[in-house]
Amino acid sequence: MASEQYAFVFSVVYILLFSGFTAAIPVDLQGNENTEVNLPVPVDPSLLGGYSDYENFSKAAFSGVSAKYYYYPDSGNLGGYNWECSFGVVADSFKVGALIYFLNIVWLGAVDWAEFTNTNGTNYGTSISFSDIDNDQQEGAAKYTMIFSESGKSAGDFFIYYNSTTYSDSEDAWDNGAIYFVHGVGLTTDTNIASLLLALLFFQLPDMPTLINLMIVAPIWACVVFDIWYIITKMIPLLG
Amino acid sequence: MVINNLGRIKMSLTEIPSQFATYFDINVTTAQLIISLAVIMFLLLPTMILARGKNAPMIWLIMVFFGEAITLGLGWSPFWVMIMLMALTAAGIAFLGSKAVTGG
Repeated sequence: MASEQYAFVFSVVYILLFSGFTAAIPVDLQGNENTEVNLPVPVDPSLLGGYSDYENFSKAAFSGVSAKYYYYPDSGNLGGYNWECSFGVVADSFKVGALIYFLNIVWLGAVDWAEFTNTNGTNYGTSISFSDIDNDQQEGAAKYTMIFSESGKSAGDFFIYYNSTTYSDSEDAWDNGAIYFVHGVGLTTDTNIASLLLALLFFQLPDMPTLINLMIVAPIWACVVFDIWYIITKMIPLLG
Repeated sequence: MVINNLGRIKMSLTEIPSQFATYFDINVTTAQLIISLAVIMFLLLPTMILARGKNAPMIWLIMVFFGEAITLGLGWSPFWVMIMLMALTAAGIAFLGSKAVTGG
């Protein structure tokens, strides 16, 4: 049947083209927008997902007079740098920065500070205070993207979370040592086209309005079902 | 927005939709859509006027993708707009391609 053959060719070409186009989107463009952070506390950092490397710590890790925490991640470096998170350099604020090594050998105290941007796009500069965290937190979790203030390159994402039912604000949680930080760096560079397409087909993409998802996916499902039907019916004479 | 120590306001391009939404008191998603549409139309309308001939729709399509890639990269456009564009383009090409293959 010419029309069935036409429909079969159409559905195969459609599925292949759509998968090909979706796979061709650069990784940086995926998920580049406001995502709500809805985390139970405390959370397993690997659930945050999508990071090639991360570091989680809490108040107990800070030491010294001006409350600094240096982290040198084991698996090489977090995003290629060693980091410092300090509290109190600017009153009641946190700063995160990468240690700049002189000739890549010795650290003489220079730090490249990162600027915090919240999920709405507001840039707070290089320090994030308790009042900023309280403004941005949703159910006790706040997410910030960081960029280096000098070079403008991405410094990863910074999550701050605490139990908002137990503690009324972040400063309270800090005083009680019950505030947690996660610093995640680097999108996972393996562009797993299969997981993206499957998430699309089964309506599991975050930030995707369901109706739009339905509009996009209904033709694909129809094509898949038609292809399966067509192949089975063509195989039946052969089985006889 | 950050006011540096010289009193100058430093704002990044990615903040524009949220500032727009705050200024006009609308949803951030709506602001994103309005601004992305404005950018894409700014690129597309002159192209539609100037491009004539048999291959004109292909050129329009390229400009739409170009505009969408710019707005998506800036963070002004929701991600699903790109996926929808690709679904429509794939359907269009599949129509033409299957007509050519089957001759029907």
